[in-house]
Amino acid sequence: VKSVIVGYSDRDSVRPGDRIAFKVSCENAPNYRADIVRLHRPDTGPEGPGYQETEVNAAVNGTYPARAQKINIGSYIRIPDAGIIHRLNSFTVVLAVWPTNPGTTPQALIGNWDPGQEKGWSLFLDGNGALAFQCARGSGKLECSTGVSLPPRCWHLLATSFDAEAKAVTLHQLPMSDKRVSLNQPLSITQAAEIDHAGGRAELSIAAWSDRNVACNHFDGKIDRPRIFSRAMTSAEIAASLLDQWPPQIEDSVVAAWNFSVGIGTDEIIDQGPNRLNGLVVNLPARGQTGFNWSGREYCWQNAPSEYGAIHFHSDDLYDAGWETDFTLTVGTEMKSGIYAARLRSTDHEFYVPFYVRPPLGNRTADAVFLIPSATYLAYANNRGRILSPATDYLIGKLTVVDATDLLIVDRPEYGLSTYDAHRDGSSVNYSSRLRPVSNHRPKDSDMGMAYNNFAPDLLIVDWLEQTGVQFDVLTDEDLHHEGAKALEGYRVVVTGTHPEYASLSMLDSLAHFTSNGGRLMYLGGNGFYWRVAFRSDKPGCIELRRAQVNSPRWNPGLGQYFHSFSGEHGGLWRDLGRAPQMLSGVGFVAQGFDCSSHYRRSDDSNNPRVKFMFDGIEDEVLGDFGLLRGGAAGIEIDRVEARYGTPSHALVVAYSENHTNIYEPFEDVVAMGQPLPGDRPPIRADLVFFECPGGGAVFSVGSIAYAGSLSHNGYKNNINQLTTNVLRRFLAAERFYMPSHASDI
Amino acid sequence: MEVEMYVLDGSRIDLASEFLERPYGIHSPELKAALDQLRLVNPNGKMILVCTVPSQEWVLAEIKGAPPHAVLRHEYTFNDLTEAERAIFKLRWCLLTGVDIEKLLQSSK
Repeated sequence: VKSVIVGYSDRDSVRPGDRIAFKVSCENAPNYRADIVRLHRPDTGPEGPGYQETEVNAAVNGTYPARAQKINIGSYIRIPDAGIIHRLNSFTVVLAVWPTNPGTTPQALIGNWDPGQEKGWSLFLDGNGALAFQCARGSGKLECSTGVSLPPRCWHLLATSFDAEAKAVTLHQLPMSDKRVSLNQPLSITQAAEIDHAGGRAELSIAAWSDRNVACNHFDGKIDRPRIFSRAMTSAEIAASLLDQWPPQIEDSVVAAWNFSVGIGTDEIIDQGPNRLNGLVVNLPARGQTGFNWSGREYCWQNAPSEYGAIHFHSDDLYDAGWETDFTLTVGTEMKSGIYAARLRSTDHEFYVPFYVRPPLGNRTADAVFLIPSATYLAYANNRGRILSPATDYLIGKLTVVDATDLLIVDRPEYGLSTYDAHRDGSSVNYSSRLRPVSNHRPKDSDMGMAYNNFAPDLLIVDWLEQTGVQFDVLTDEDLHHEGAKALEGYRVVVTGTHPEYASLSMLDSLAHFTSNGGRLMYLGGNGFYWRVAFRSDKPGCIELRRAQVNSPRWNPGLGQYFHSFSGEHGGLWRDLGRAPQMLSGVGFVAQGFDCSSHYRRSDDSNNPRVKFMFDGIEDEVLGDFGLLRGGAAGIEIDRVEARYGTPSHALVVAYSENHTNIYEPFEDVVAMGQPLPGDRPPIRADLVFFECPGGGAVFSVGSIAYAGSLSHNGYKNNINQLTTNVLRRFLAAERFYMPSHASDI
Repeated sequence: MEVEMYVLDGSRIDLASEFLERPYGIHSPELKAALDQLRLVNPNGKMILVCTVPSQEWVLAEIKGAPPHAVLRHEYTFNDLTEAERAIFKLRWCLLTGVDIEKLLQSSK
């Protein structure tokens, strides 16, 4: 049996003096080796200059005893201080439920059931998907069920009413009107019962059973307005129990009335009943979801919170694996700003946990800063679809290539999903976190041209920066989001990664502020600034992504659920949200293909005196007809100019790509423009663009993920390297850029 | 307008030859249509390549079962990714059309 080692860290962006804790799980080995390394270059294979890292002399380097650490995947709610439920003789529990995967395994709804001890009580869906109730009774347990399965994705009012005097429990399974014609009938059954509260937990759980540390039997679907009353209620009273205003006759018997529409952007669960049985969500279930009473009059949860009282729980939600710490590194002052990793090695497996060292606070150490596209890393983290989807090869035009580390996420679904996957119940994955092992965030990739592990190709840019001898600092998307434009103050050049696809509004605003105030942006990638994401300041290492209006069931977050729960912002493509990527970088995504890359051809614009600096030492008309990423500088995912989306009118397209394969299928906005006329440039192309900004700044964009793969060709002596280095050196110079003042300048 | 689905004729050695000569690149529209179908053929589970020695060795695997798992087929071990593309193209051709294209190509020489 081969050993397996994986890990993650509590944070990914640190400064000298900060502490970063590493959590490791290692199986089938007595111990493992950990070393801190600085990463310089990814594994390029024999066609490139080869892998390069250097070991850091860190006190934590050493051998550690191996141990396996488990992950308790699945979201639910904990109501920790709910001892009052032991003092209830008779009671009624009511909630609205929209199951998405009924009839699989028992799925908990609400209760204090302890599955290990078989104590307490629980309302749940049984293995057939029918409403069921179980409770401890003397030496055994009582279990009853309606015996009728709930249909998926239909709202039902579910209730259990226990009458201590009559020694009877009644289950109510009542269809709620959702405007569809349905065969579902209201159903109530009564059974003799007694409840033994002794030994029951003082903590309530919603959407899972829990025995203190481990949750199980997670519920898939939505729950809205769970409520507990202190007496057995009639069917009529139960039917009225979820109203916004209670009838007076049941007002006095309210024990708990949770309102999930309060605190949507938080982990908090608020009880608006008299006992304030507040709680917390675990593992980021989807909040801001349409409730049983959603009318369709509003599409934003902020405008009609009472109609957004549902939480969608998933048995495969995960925020924090919650592992114990194996070792903690104090970042030394000798660790210059850059990209580092904890390199973990067991007998026959290796795993990297990358992290980023920024300069000391207030002391930038360079004029250039490399913006780590950490939001994109999160969006793609543990992308199972790439491996499992039967359509991958059709889309990419080649075979899917993986390695043993990639396959970990197939064999271990508890590592959680990426935002490219769908949940087990078919719904979209809205959140992704780095507080878990991530298989595709590493310097040695199984197929670097696939843009699923975006980290490895980004190291090609780091390698180029180091080869130029230019000093640079690093910061992450998450840093930029939280700190805003201030994070870029003092820098002259921002260099992006190869695929900075995901951006928050704060990130875009900060970059726009930077380029409007003398800053120079080198966008060295493709498919950049494309989707909106949201961060939460109290939830580090996590993005929310709602792919609004996307016509794909596994991506669409559902009608009425297009607004992020973290921020209240509408999700989707920045192009549809008034901030098309062309506004910032001059180019925007147009096509993708993963089989072959192509070259750029210089245009007449490349002879414009405004870009003379760019072509110093370059005589070639064809640029980048070589490279590590599918053989050319233009490819994988490519962008081009589009005036209607905001490319500045004075932007110069100094080169454009051509001859892409027919795997590069046009996206809808290209089709809408009609057939190209003779002499037109092909619609499927990458444009290499330059433009000046008011305030002395400028933008250089390459519009291609593959571009970075050409920088090291021929011992770093090639026209792409020359061009990019020319731009970097000019962008680093103090001399300001001027907007072309006359039409003849353009 | 009625659009008929493309059906690959297993005897089309011209299409097979075009691919085998150049697995990556700009293909004729008909080969593209054929490849779109071939790449969706997964009767025994999705075929993937598992790298077993970095940059040196890849083994064909099929994703099977529930929960899914990669089953390696060591009889299909490759030292070159382009050769793997060719070999799996032939496997898929046979699965889709029932024709052993390798045999057909040999007999046509």
